[in-house]
Amino acid sequence: MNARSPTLSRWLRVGTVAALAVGALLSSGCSNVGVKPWQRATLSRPDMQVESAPLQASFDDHVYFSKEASSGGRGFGGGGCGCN
Amino acid sequence: MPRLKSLLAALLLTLALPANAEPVKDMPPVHDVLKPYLGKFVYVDFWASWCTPCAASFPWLNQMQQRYGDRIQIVAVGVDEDDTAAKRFLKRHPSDFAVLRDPSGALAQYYSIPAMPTALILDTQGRVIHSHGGFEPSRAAEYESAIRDAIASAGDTP
Repeated sequence: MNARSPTLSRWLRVGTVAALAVGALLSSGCSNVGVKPWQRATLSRPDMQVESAPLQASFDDHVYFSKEASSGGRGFGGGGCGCN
Repeated sequence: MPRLKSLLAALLLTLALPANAEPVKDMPPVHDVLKPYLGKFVYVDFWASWCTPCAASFPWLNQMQQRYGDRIQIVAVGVDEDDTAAKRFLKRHPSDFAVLRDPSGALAQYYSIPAMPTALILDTQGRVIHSHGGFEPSRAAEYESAIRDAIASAGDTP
């Protein structure tokens, strides 16, 4: 058995907590993207959407599902068992 | 070590608070734009032409105006910067209630509205006594109940 030394364990714990703190600090950076809810006129335009052609995307998904017997991977709910 | 842990836990909790939370400043309870309505209960609805649920809320607001218009003032505040889009929206969705324009978003900013649409109910002194974000037709009874509660509290208002 190769037991960790107490010093190493302490540093590991400190490192974990510090990493969590840094993670929290970084994630709070995304809490304000600078656009207020009432300023989203431009963002709500159809040509600003991630999927600008939803009908075409749905058709592509169906082709993919039929050919590969699997679904998902493009934000589509469901498993890959091919049973739905 | 326990001291370090509690220090880091406190730091994490602090960071978990929304970074954009603004402290409440010494502001009067009602914005200048809404001062003419002081003395009445006011249902303020923030809308925009590009906001789909806002369009769904207009017929409901017309109903509320018909039912409670004598006891509560419904005021829709349009936040569109584009005047033409706002006019087109109002033509498509006629309103029987007061409509104000807030193209700079000053009023929306004043009340720090969290979503579009957002509805506030102000008491006779302009204090916000109810607010909700979004408009879901399935929750219309809940919204109406908030209006009824506000009206019913009229006797309790100092």
